[in-house]
Amino acid sequence: MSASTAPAALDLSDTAAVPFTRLVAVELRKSYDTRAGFWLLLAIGGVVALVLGIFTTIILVQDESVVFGDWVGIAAYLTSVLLPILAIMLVTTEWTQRTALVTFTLEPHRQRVFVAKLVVGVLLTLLTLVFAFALGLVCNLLCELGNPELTGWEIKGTDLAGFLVTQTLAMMGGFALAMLLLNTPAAIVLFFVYRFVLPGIFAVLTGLIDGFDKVAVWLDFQAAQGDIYEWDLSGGEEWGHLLVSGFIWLAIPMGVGLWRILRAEVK
Amino acid sequence: MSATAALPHGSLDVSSTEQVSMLTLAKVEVRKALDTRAGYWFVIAILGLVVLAEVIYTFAADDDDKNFQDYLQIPGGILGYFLPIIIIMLVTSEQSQRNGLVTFTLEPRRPRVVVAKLVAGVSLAVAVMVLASVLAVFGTVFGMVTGSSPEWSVDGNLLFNGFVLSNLIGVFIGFAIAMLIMNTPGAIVAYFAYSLILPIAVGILGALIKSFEDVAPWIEFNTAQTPLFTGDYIPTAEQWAQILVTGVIWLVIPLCVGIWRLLRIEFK
Repeated sequence: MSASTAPAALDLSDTAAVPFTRLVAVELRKSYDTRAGFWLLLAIGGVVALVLGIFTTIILVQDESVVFGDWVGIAAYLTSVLLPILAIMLVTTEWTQRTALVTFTLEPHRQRVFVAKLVVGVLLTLLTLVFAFALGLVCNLLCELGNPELTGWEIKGTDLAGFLVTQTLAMMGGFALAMLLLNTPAAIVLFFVYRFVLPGIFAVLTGLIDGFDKVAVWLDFQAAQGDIYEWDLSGGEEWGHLLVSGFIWLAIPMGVGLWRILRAEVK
Repeated sequence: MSATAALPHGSLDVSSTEQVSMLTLAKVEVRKALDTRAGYWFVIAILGLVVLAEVIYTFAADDDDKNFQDYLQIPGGILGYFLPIIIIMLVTSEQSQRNGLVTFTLEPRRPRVVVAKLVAGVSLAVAVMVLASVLAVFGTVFGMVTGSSPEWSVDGNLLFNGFVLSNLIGVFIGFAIAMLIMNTPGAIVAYFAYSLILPIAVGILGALIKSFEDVAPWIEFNTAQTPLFTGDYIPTAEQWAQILVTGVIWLVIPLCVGIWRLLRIEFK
């Protein structure tokens, strides 16, 4: 203790802020270097590999024709369920495992932590795309060896772009619900309702109420994404459906969630 | 301390201490399910969802379709998805919220806790079903107020097979999955994978492989249960056999392995 510094003052002016890349690196490590995260990532890979393996067997046994793009489509269906769960766990474990205390002490700008988490979600989505692509390559190669005349290698660049955009949106959907609820079981239940039960409700209401289909297209975020996957989103109205339903299902939960996170008492 | 004077030093006389009664255990488990923040809000959310669905249905449906039976099928569908989550949380919270340490210290005979949890889960399920039926009555009355003339008769087979039996099977499945996985998010995801994704997978496989459609009801529990809540709600003898066979695969085996696991798991 030299006499020059005042006893109760801490000089932080020379301390650099935590760089954003480090926040991303930390969040990335949280996603795979914990028991739950590790097994979840392994389960995602395992489920995709298992299902593609089953399809390979069926296609070879039944002499079905297949093109390379089909594998990406199958993988996309699976990861559209699994990636949001990953995103949910990225957000909610801060609360359920109480790591938020440390996280927000080391980085009190809470919004930066969540931007970092979102970046990690996008990185893992990209990784999933690469993994699905590699696995599809192996499966298609097996089909090529077993059944050369029925196997094609066509794949459109738009297939990959559609995969990437829809999977990123799916991941962000889970992320938004998680920010809103900040509780793992609740967010997972709500996500499954949104993903599997809501389309049924829309279908029932469309059958029951005349003219509901005109309203539903503005509310149903998943149906609005269908055109992106096919990569033929065209016309102002389709874009309007996507933006309005996306605002309802992504922007509002994220906004309310962020407001809640910035004010919540961490304990 | 005259009575305990005969005992060797350092020992505790528990011979006249009564054992914890099963009723107490079951009551504790019910309280764990309802008197915690997650459980309390979850039950309220389920009942709120039933109310919401009944109101929307009243405004959306034709007046001819507003019989008591129609209103009863709404909670039937909703409870099918959500009742098992209650018992999943009841079982997995022992591990994830660490109350297993206390639970199994106070009652070290774990089979009794398993039975108590099952009793609590089934009682809660029945209570929620009764409440949901009451809401269905309100829904029908609400339909009457808004101009329909409902019939109050209910097909007994629908009530038992489609409402009570299928929901109880769901609760047992949730119980089995929870004990097997012993982790709340994992068990919930597994349950939804079983109830929502597996039927889709079976549909896809059935479309790809023609003969699979005949095999599916013998190996997939959701497919086998379909006759319980569709058609005339009376499964044929073959369909009952399918329910039995798939029930052994998807319910009895996981339940046995799950109980075995819960009896041996280290709580820490």
